[in-house]
Amino acid sequence: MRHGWNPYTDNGGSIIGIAGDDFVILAGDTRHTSGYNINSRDERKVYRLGENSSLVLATVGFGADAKDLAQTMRRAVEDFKFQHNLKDMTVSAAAQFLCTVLYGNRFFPKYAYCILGGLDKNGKARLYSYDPVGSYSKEGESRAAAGAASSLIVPFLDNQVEFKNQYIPSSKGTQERPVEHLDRDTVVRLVKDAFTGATERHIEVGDGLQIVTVSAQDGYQEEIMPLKRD
Amino acid sequence: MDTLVARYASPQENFYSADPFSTDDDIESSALRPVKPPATHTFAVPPIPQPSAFLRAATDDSQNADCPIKLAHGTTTLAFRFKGGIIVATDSRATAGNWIASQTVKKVIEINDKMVGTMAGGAADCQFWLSYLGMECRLHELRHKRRITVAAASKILANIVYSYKGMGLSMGTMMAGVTPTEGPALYYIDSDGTRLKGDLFCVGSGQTFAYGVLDAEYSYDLEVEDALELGARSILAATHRDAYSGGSINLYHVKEEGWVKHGFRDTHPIFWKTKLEKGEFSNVSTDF
Repeated sequence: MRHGWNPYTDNGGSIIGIAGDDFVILAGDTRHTSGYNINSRDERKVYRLGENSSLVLATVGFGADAKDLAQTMRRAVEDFKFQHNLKDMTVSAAAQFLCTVLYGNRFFPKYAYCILGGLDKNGKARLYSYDPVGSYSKEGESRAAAGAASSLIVPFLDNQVEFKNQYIPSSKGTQERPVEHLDRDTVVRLVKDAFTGATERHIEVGDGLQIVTVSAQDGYQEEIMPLKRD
Repeated sequence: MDTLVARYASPQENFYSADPFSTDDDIESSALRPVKPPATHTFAVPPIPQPSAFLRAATDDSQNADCPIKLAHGTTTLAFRFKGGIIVATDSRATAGNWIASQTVKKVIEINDKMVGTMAGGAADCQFWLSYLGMECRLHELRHKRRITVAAASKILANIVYSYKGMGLSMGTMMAGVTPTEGPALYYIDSDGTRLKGDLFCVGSGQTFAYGVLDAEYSYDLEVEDALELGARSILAATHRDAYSGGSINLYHVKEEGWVKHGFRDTHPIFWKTKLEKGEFSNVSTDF
């Protein structure tokens, strides 16, 4: 269908999520594009789901669909609280709910790739990533990336977070480097490296980097780092 | 609470009027009831005359290579019946176009502790409807005070996907389980509405490669160890020749006591072990 009805625009940009042991980091660049035009340099992609919530949602794809999803999720988390005696929605419940919302649009999909992060009852990090119609892994993952530069970022994360294709030097390539939880500074550095790299090689990525950290000790923290604006 | 009871108690009418000499066939016919999500769960549909044509243009990468929304696809899955129960094996790769979206997908979906389903086609379609089916199966247990048969469960799924026919669902699934009335039972259901009972199925882009190995070595009288090995070897063959299949081999044995997991193993070391220790894949050279 060459001249079909097209309700979508690809607004570019990328998002990343990395889970440590007791903290989760979600980040996204702040450039908003359509085609070769840059519409905004400070449009954020990472949303906190409520004033005091540990839940964070990052979405990328069509900006309007992404925003609508974030709003739906934020309202659901708030409603849950009022209907359950001020108890917070768990990450796993929010994860299942997001799946239901996305699949509810199975026949008119939201053009949005989502990464949901948060802390569970024991203060351990949980991270989930979704396809546009709601497929996700209940076990969660240690790292996820989506959006325009995901094909540049994912291989980097495979190598640096999951230690894929890394071997113990003395074993002459026979023994894989064991996977371990990374500390917070390392993860923030990886996120910054991933985005400065993606900015160099992808036209839809740049301007600013929004980094959101949710940790058991320090709660919610947000940082904006400038990226190249060309 | 009353609304909850009302929603789930509706089958009570035919529950009391049911023939006291009913067999399991009658139970199965209750699965003919159109089972759809309750009115509280409705799907958004675009405001145009041909929603399915729009959906195809927007999401089907086989029809439209540069479609904006690429869904996860591509698979090899197999299941076969033998004297020791049922073996279910899958790969673990998810692709969106040429992009490998994941190498660690769980394509065996545990419906309950006695029944599993496999995932081929749209990942979200399979995950959503098989977990919805899990709920229907539990409700069947509560209503009838006995576990649902694989025949009935598979028919519920087939009826659901048939009711959405032409709307763009994409799934090819196998359901395996052991029940007192049926013994080990295996069904193939796809989004066209096909529902087949059988002893051996392979589904997905790598199905032909898996059939090649499986048909050659299959026998109903296989020992459990050999059957597990055959399942894994067939998936290995498919991951070797089908670019859309790969990652790890996910192995399950379904038997009377329920299903047992037999590992989620990376294909790469298994391939080299198979080649170097068993002398298979001799067409592959070790050096360039």
